[in-house]
Amino acid sequence: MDSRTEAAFTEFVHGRWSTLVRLGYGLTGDQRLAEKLARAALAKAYASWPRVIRAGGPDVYVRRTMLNASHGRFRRRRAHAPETCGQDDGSALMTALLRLPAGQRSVVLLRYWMNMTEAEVAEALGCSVGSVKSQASRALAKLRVSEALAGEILL
Amino acid sequence: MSVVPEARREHRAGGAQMSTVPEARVDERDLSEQLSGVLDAITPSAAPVGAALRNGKLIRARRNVGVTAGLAVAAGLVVAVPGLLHRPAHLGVSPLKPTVMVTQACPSVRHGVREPTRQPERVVGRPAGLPAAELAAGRCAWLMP
Repeated sequence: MDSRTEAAFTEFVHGRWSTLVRLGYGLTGDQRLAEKLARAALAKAYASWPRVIRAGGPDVYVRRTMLNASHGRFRRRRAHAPETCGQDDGSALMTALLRLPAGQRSVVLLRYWMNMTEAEVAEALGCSVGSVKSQASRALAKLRVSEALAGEILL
Repeated sequence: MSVVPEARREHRAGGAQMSTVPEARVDERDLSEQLSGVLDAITPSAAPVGAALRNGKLIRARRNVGVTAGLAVAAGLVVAVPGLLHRPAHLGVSPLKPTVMVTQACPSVRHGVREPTRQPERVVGRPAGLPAAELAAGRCAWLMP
């Protein structure tokens, strides 16, 4: 690839790195793993850069790659959330979030953290708007009754 | 951490039953703020541009090798097994087995398409009235591969 492509990719990485790592952290609860997910997604995007640009932009591609990788990891490990997630102020929310199934967690992050519309979330996850609505509703219901959040924050 | 939403507070206090929509909106806004608080507190390391470039090039190189290998295998198949791709439909026999056309060398020999053997094959046939000595003298066809 030419130097123009490399320059565009470099600019993209600098501009999105923080957001991608934060999304990865929301998906995994582990910053090291989040950075690994983001790095792998960016490498895949660079490997197919012209196609990625043609297909609607690197943002969509990288986000979807990270979500798929995170879902795959969730399925492989069949693990749910760790019991605790640090002692910081957001530990209860992260613990409750990580106890959600991967799909619901993705919907919560895209809808309520990235402030995407239901249609955008549906496109990012490759599912219907109805599915996004139902997953969001289930996720909120679970977060409301989450033991980890009880008494600390009220949703 | 956060205040009790207005709609819920009234509901708990035994007030009039309220629609769940305002409560849901408060829920969503509250969740959005809490998520921002947790995730924005993360401080990522420096953007790994070099590593992403290197890994991306590696992925592309591997993909190219795979494509090249696939093409080579396909080309090999096309060259080595032409019969698989160009099966003659007009002959009812396999193209892998060579055939010869036998013309009628003597009246007793059946003509048509045959498969030759490795050895010169004598077509045995004796027309009515033709003595065996004449056959031996070469008046009949030899089927050569």
